[in-house]
Amino acid sequence: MKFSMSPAPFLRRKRTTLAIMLELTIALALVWLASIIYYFTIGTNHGLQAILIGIVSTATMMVVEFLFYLPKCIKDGKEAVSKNSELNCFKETMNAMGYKLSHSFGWVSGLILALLLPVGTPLYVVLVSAVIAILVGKLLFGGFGYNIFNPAIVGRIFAQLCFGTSLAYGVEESASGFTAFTGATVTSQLSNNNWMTTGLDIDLWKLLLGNYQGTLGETFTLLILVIGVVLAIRKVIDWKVPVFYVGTLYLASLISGFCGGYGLGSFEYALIQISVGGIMFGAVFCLTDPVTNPTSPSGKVIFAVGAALFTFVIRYFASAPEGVAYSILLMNMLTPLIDRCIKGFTTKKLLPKWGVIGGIMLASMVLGVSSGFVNHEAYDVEYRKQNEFSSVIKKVEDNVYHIEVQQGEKGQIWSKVEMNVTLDLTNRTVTKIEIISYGANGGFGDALLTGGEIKFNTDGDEYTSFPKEKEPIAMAFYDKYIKLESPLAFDEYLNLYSKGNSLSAWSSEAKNVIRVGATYTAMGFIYGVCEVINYAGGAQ
Amino acid sequence: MDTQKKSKIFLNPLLKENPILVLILGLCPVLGVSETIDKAIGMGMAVILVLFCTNLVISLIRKLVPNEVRIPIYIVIIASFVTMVQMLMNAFTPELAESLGAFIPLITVNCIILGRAEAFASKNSVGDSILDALGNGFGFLIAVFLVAFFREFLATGGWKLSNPFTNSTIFEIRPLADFAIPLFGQNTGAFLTLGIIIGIVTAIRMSSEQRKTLKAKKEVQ
Amino acid sequence: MKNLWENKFVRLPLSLAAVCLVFSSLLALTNFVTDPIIASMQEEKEKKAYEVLYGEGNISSREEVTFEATDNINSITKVVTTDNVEHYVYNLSTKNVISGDFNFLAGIKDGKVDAYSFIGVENNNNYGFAEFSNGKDRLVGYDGSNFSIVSGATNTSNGFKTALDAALAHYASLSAEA
Repeated sequence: MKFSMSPAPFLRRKRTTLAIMLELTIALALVWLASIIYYFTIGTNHGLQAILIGIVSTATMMVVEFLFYLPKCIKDGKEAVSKNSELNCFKETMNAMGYKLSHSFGWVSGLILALLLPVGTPLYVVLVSAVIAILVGKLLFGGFGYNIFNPAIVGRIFAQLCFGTSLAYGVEESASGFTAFTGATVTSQLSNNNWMTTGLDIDLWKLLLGNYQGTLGETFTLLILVIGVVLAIRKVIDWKVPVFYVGTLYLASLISGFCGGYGLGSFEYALIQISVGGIMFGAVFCLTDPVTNPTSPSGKVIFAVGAALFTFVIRYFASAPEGVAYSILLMNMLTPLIDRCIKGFTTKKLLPKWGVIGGIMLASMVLGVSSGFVNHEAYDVEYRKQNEFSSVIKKVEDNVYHIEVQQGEKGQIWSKVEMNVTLDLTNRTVTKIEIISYGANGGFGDALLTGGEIKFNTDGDEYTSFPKEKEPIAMAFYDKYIKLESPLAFDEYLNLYSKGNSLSAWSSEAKNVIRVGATYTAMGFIYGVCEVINYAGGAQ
Repeated sequence: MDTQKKSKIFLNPLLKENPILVLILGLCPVLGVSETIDKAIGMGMAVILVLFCTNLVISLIRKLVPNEVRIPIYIVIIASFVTMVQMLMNAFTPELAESLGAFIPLITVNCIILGRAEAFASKNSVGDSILDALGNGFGFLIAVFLVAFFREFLATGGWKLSNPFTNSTIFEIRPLADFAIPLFGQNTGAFLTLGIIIGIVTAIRMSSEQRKTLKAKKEVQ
Repeated sequence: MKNLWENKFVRLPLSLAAVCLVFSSLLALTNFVTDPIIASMQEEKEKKAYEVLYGEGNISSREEVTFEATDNINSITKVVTTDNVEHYVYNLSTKNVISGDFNFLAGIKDGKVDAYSFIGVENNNNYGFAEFSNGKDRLVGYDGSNFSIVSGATNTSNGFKTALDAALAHYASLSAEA
């Protein structure tokens, strides 16, 4: 089923698919260039990583396509030689391959996938995702024009599912090359705060001009907007899809902002919502893929509106910041269905009757969803829960955060720590930790947190099972991480925590530091400090 | 002439008419036990044993079984043999039985067994049925082993083989453990791997068939 | 005879019955052969555990006690040792221990745990298991109120405590009846 990009008549001007795709490639390359420049301003290793990701992704896809089409091209070459024995077999094969590759447009998916990944992605992850994207997403379905799903999105989702923790937003240079670390992006900050902006420091212009970290393509929203307009004017992409997608999202965010009591600030709030999380990029480059969206104009409108509603729902209720990718895949699945329903109704006759009905349905859906079900409480305390840890964070003063961590539930509380953490965000160090309260069951953990002051259980007897040989290790831990005679870098805490937040992972890796016989208390403490660091946005 | 036909009965199900990769029968256990090659080989052995016994018995009594009740009788036979195999596995290979879990009783409803019983054993002699059973059983083993080979490599970066009777490790190598993709240890990976392998096998099969018809055409000319 | 066989109301049930008979006997045979092996494997593990409890050869009689099934208790045996003292031995399983559940025997007398041993666990490099393993006698003397959680093995200790509480509760109900 080869989809053409516009309805009949087809004899318009002589413009091949190749020409259109080349213009699209130029646009993508511009976005890529912009992100490279941005990341170079952060650090050379970031910029280099950005370049490498793009190169690896595109090259892998081209190589896979080459290998996939090789048998057929060899056969074609042999056939051509058998018909005209003057031709060189190798040249004919290369000719056939050149034709095939240039009409399969693998590099476009390569660039889009690269722009969907964050800068800290390890290169082998990029490689594997690119292979799966082009193979499972496009080639196995029959090549260009036959695929159901957008291949770049398939690769992105695969990377998310398999390597989710490796998709890091920052790259750090260490002695052994690059090590990646995860941190709070604006998207995840927003999603943790229930998509409300109170209490968070988000500047709209900063967002639009790309001064925050997200995936490679998310940075310059304004640039993508301009490029989108240019492409639409040059008829490279169909204007309906991005306009209706962004428009519906804007409308839904607007209404939910009004209901959340932002008043006139809702307009800016809605603008923030659509500048975050790759919506612009997805709208201009991923949703408009002519192969995977419906052929008819009204079908395209339904497609865009559906994708917007899915994005809205996934973001708000499933707290998955990557709602855009999932909603694109879902609507790609529904494209053949939409086509079949709209079959034959592509003329203007459709508009009055269906337009009115459709408009009413759309409005009611948007209103209902956004006002009725969305939780409008902005938390000024931050509730977090991860595995068996739950914590409540509150900002007490500038750079001072109060956190209560509890590990365990349902009557089996294994550790409890309440402390004030003072951070220095510019130098990225923790300057002071003040332990306010703890479990106080006379366990070794109390000794750890108080530097050996507490050695007795609550009855006043000395511990029955106090492993004295572990005392120096515990005291060293206390001196280094809790007493803080001099400020300690964020990474000291983050490195301990990032090694895994399950008991067995800590026990085997951070043995000397953590396994002092107060495992749960130490875990809770480290977890608490790292959560405060993440909450304050200091993990960049 | 006769031995050629007999060898064809054994060799066909191995690759050309492999029950899983070509006839696409009985995929459920393949998806379920192909996480490690240990489990795959264990399951394959169990299926071979069951197939052997059922084909033998069914072809022995094929003349005595009345037509109207043959399906219930076959099912009783298959279920009994599967239960016997399960009891034997619980006694002699307890760890393997525990890791295979519910898939051993599920052999009863595996299409391959009832399919071969119905299609072949009930109409052919004992010798032929035994050959057919062994062929299909080993075909199943080859297919499951192939899927497990790739899945375990991608999911854990290596392979581990152990002796089921004594639970001692024969070898364990994990060269690429740092680059493991845990998705392939789960159901998604099972479907993906199986699909890609079936695709490759079909492509090879179709191209070899095309080549044969081309050759035949050329010979005719 | 031939005519009887042709009659389908005779033929079908007869053949079905014949097949069922043959195969049930085969199944019974296999069961007869394999059951003792499976049971003996389990028994060996338990026997080892019992030997550790009160010493080898000190058990003069064992008697099963019926009870209401609970999460942690697998079976209860009334054991009389050679010095004519009655102990109630509970076969317990911990539940929800993160690093892996344990199956162990605990002997209770006079409302206190006086011996315990593990079934079937030989080499387990879990810190919690090491602290409670057979030689350490940590659980001895527990009577419901004086459990000391081992530092560094909080989760495992809690697992044992829950299992032992269930056993002690049952023991208390026994003496309440008596």
